[in-house]
Amino acid sequence: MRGITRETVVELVDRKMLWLFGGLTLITLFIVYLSGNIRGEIAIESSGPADLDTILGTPRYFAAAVYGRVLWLLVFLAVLGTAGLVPRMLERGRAEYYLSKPNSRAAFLASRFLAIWIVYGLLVAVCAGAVAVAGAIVHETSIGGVVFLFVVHLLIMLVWLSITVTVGLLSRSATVALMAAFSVWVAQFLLSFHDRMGGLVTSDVARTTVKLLYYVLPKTSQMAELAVNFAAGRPVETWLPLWSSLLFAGALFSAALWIFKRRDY
Amino acid sequence: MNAIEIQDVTKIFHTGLKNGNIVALDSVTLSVRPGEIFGLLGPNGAGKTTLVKGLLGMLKFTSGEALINGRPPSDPLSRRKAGFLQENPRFPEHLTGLGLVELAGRLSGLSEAEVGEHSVKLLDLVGMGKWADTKVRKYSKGMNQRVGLAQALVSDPEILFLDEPTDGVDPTGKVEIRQVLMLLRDQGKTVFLNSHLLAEVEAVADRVAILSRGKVIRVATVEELTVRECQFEIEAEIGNERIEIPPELGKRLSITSRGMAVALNNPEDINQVIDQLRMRKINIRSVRPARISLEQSFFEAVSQDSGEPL
Repeated sequence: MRGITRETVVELVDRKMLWLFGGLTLITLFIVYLSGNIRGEIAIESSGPADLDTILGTPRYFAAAVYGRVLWLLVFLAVLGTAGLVPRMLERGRAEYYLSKPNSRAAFLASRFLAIWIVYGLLVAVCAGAVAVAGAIVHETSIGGVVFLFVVHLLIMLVWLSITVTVGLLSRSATVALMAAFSVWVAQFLLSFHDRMGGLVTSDVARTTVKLLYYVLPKTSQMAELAVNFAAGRPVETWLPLWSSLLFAGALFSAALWIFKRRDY
Repeated sequence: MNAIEIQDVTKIFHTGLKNGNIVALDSVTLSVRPGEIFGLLGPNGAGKTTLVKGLLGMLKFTSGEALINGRPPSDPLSRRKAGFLQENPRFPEHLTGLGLVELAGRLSGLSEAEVGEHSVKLLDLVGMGKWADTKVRKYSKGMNQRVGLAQALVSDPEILFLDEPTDGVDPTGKVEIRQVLMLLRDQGKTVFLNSHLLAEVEAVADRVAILSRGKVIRVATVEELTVRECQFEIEAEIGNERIEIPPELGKRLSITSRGMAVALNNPEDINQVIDQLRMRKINIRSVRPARISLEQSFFEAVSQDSGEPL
């Protein structure tokens, strides 16, 4: 595990990922800095009866939603940047280097998966942490549940990694892994409206299929929403999106381990 | 206990309905003794790499049994004291040569102290010391092979599997790698060597197996493969003498003023030939069994198996 983790860090530095995440964080920090001035302008001009809270929601919810979007963007970049790591290390001529060592296949893949999650998760956490601290300083506010927001987004990343790693392992292609992840993302986003969709569909079979897909597929959009609500101090109606998505990731990764163990290289 | 024991191993690749199945290994039985350099020869597609990959647990044999240091390939511990340099390695390009060897050490379960101690020493051994901090992506093919040999040696393996280790290496590098192999043999290590370069195998291997179309067609020492059992080269001052070999003994293959080559029906009959020469007062300098190169022996074995002429 230590060897694989160190290698993942070296690979991250070599692929200039630090520059990408650093650059994005600097741009976000600059926007946070500008947002301090924008708020001042609105405060001066909004002298009428309009209540900003009704437009923007409570400031705490607004801040949580903004941090949530920043985290989502960073997680999206991390998933995009790591989709090729597993297929590349199992290319012919390279797989032999790793698989000839005295480790079980399961331990090897689990180490790689966890190393990617830990290393890129830390990178996301550091960048998002910098934005959160800057936001708190500029706006002189803090979000109580910011840590929870971070944790849930790292779990969202774990769910997406389980898809890219499994599909990457099966297809040996980063492109296919990303396409699969994107398809699942679109599907889960649409299925987050399953109640309304169910009302529109007349066929029982179609309604059951929609419901089934909703429960089977991960619900990362709803996880993000849940995290923002919790961080803003709003009530969380159901924890189903969180645990069922983690269950999905666990089941998918177990399938990946099972396939990897049986494959010839 | 043998270092490597292979019993009736078969590997069939299923390629789909249209193409049918490919039998890559067909009832292969071999054993490699501890401390010997064992050469595995065979034309392209003979199944050499498949056999090594199966022994290292990278693919599963369809049937049969194999043991590495007494453990089956499915047990990761069978690779605890095994090193491997693959054919055409494509090592992680983001690592330096030193990083690559260090990672191999960590993956093999070495402590940080051991990793540090072994890595630099091994890079020096394979002549890559001064390129240790250069990224692998900048290495030539030969440098890749050298650094690959260093990573294969990092866990101080008892068995070393080398698949075309000198492929792309310059002549000096080949000699250096050969010296490393001899050093390993002196240290009592077992080396399983896959190579197309027959001269190289002939120079270092103790025993050789020839694999053709997935089957072992010959297992012998290099000596046995290269010596013509009933043929002899006699170095003698023959001059203009006409020497005939009685047909019941065999026949003369060639003759010059400095010697002759004979093929006998029975190797014991060489004494009668020597007696005949001595009776004619011909001065004999040496009598030795006729030899062929391993290459020639290999081609003969493969062409016999395939039924095609050389």
